[in-house]
Amino acid sequence: MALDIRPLRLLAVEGLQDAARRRVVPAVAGLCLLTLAMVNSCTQCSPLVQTDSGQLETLAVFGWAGVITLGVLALWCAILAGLVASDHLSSTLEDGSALLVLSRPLSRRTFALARLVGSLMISFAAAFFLLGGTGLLMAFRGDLSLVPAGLAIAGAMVNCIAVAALAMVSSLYLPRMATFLLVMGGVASVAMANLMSASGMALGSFFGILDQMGPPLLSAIVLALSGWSGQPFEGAEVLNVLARMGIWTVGSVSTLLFLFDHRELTHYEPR
Amino acid sequence: MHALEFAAVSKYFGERAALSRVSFSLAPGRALGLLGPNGAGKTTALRLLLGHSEASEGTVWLQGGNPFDPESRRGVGYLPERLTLPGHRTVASFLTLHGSLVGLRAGELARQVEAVAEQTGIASRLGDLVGTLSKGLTQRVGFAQALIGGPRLLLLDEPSSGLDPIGMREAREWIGQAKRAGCSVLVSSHLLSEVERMCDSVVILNEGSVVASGAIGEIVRAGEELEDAFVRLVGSQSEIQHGA
Repeated sequence: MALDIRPLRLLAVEGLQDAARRRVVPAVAGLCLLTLAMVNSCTQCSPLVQTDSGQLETLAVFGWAGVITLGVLALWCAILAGLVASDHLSSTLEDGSALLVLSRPLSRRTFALARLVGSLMISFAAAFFLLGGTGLLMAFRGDLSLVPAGLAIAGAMVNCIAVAALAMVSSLYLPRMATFLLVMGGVASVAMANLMSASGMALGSFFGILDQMGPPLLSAIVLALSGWSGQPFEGAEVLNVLARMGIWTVGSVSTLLFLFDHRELTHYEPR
Repeated sequence: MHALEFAAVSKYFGERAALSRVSFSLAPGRALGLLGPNGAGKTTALRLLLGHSEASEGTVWLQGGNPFDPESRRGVGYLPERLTLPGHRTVASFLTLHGSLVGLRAGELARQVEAVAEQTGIASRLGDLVGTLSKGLTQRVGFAQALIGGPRLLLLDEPSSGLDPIGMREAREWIGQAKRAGCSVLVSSHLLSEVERMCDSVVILNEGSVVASGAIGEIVRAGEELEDAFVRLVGSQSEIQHGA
């Protein structure tokens, strides 16, 4: 697969600038600050929790709170990735700017990948600041290791790639609103399946398939933060989650590049 | 090797034939006018040339290669009919991006940006945001990006769009300069007088088919102008098709 590195870099920067000018970005920045302020406020209290059976350990309180908080934030970052990507490629076809760039000696794959990278930078930044900031506060105040938080950030970023690439694929064929609803519905369904599975609930065939074969949007974060929760994972489970992350990421990006490479770019009208 | 060539090319959108067994070519260093009424297939032909779309039948050659191969597009300058430029960019940064995409580096890139800006009369607007420019100035920026890097082949879709009479005259001069430098030019236009002045030969399309092609002198009869010949050819073709 031939990719031109210099045009890719130039167009990725262009894609990032386009994404950064979106109205959603200041809202995301505001929400990041608000979330961190909330986490900061909530972690200032004493971690001592007294129950009938005695006092809970600090790790038990902060560990699970951290898993839940970072899990929710990781899902939010995945939705953000899908939202930003949902028209980041298709809008350039609708306004014709892609056709001008694609008259240059560069491949369609390079262009599509650059748009994907540009849009992902926004969700990567959100994941880094949200999960990183929250993880840092949790780790310092709950005396937890920083390594699980780092793994969770990496997991969230990888999941963002798959969600964004699939949103871009959808946007080539469906209106933006339909793509957005697919992103919301898809992320929520997979998260629900992962959550039901993690809590030992019985899964129906739909959620069972999503949990076992879908992208591990929440499972990956729970796995990454096992050092905080103390929840044991077997080697096979770890491999399963890692394999699914890799397959969904590579598969979604490859699908996007293949379909864009073979798509007719004529008679493209705003939808 | 031709600068571009269509060999029995057809393009269907569903049942409708946008192009039907179209054949023509452009020799290096020559200028060819692609004429036709709305919906004749001119823009479809340009998109086939740029690899934005694939021919249903026949073969399209761009600089001797497959238009889908990015290397075939090296040295091609394209000015689309519907020009959408990034309004948030300055003229200089927009031209720099396109100069970089054609492979220009550092010093040569800066020199080329200045040269095409000077040539197209936008040197004093390099610091302006593209979104603040008038339609005529935007078209000049479009010309500048098509000319950057010294193209070997110019594909111009309605190049006079948005230009005032002075701008149109200047545009003819830019195209003339490119031709004198050895550049081949394909002009798709409704403005027959412009094509007559710029091009050596024409291809006239109507409803996706070539109704006439060749040197302007061969198509235009004594006492006729190109416009008269165009109406005669396109009108008669329409009558034939409607009569059938």
